[in-house]
Amino acid sequence: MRFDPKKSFGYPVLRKNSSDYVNADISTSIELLETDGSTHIYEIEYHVMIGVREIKDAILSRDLSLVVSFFCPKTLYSESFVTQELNGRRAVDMRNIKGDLHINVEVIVNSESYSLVSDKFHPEFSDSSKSFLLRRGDLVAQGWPEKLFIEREVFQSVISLFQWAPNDDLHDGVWKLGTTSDSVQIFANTKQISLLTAASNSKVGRAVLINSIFFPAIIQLIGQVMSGDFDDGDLWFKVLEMKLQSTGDVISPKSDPIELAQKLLKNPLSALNQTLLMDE
Amino acid sequence: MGIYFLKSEAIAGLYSTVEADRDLYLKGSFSEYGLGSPLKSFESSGSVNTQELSTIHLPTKDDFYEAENSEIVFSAFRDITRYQAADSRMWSYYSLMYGLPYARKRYPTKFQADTSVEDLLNCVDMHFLKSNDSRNLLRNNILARLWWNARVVNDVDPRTAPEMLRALLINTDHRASFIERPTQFSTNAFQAGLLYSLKKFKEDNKNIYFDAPRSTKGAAKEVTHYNYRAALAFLNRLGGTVNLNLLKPTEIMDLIAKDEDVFYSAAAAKV
Repeated sequence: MRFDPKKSFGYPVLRKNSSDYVNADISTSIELLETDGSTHIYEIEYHVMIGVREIKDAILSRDLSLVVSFFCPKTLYSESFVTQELNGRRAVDMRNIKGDLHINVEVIVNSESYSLVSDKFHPEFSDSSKSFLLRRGDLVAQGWPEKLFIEREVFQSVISLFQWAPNDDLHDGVWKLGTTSDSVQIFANTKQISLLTAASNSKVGRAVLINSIFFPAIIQLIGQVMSGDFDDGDLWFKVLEMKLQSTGDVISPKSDPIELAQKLLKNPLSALNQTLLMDE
Repeated sequence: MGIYFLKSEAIAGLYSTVEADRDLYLKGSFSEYGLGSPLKSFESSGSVNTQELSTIHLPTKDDFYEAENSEIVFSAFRDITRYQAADSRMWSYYSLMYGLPYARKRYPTKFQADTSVEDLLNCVDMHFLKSNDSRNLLRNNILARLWWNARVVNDVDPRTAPEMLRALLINTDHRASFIERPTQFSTNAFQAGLLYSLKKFKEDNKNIYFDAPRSTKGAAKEVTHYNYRAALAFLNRLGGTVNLNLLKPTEIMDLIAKDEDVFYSAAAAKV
């Protein structure tokens, strides 16, 4: 059901930004968790906080239920489950999801009929009636719609964003950076790309590539974000944003691109330390 | 052999050479174009039965073979994940490599000798290369749209999938009413709506349910008042107040049935 805080149901529905209830709220939080031993199966952890005692009690007594729904518009994957638990986890297979995963939490009437009462109704409801008789399936409370952005690149190294792109107008030893909505391209001539691809097959080669190509490239991308030269639907932007969220960082006009790029690449200098520098 | 995806740079290159590649689009093949080289594509895990793809029926004036071809494409790509199926780069590769003969017959006016470069570019964009547009994959990509037809009916019930596929594809508007409104997939209303169409289709595929009472008066030429649209509108209204995920699809179908006389007369009143 679409979230519309202004929609009138003819009875109070607990929602954010709605005045149907006074001094009462519903809030939800969603988190994506890795699971042990599987690269595809993750868990979505949800927490629902409800500020109306009668609703919480009715969930416990099974007159009301929580319906948690997942929906991915790109893959048409949908799943929903009915529960009495205000906190819980649900396993999801990431191979079913691409892009945004919409997560909706609703409290609905589970019994054949239910009399909705609360001393927190907005006075305009209390004036006409102290209780409302609802039928099975009717909406009682609705959490703010949540969204998780899920692309394989988010779970892989940030380096998976990059693609080698041939451009034979470029001389040996020269490379350029380019972006499209779904990738970041490293342009170089065909011979140079062969050398770079070969380098990525060894530990030392990878350490050199991280420091000579990917590190400055990510500094450049962060700079683009800082100057507004991006679209917020760009995959590379969303991946950088999600990766930095996990370290508690955001890109802002005052960010230090070198510091953030080092976080995103897990301190690239340490890759050189472990291969070339420490050996000397 | 894995599953191939065209690299973004290769797709950009194909856009820039549509005029030079005109003959390949109109009467040739991309089989020798090198799309499978590591510079133009990358491989992912899984497999595609390309031999099955070569058995696609070529559309004729009288029959587009939509249901049969949906089954063939779904079977050829039976191992792919939804994540892979939502990636336009994969469909770009296979549509160019294996979908051209089908595309020329399915959309013949777009592949004529006098088709302008601009029109050909639009056609290539819409049916082969457009990226990051999931609606285009569902609606226009040569192979993806067929695969998704079969995917959604198999999601409801693989046992009834062949017949439901034929019900879904009874006309273009009916298909679009389901597949091009993705938010409907988030509730049991979608399943119930499709099951209801299947029920009516099984009763009689010329069922009044699929009719569009249409005025012969007035200037409106487009048929829009199909009876099934009233059922879907009813589901929309119902889903606006009741959480349909709590109800079983059969319970929702009962509610549609109760409202059926009302929406037949309402549709007729619009004529």
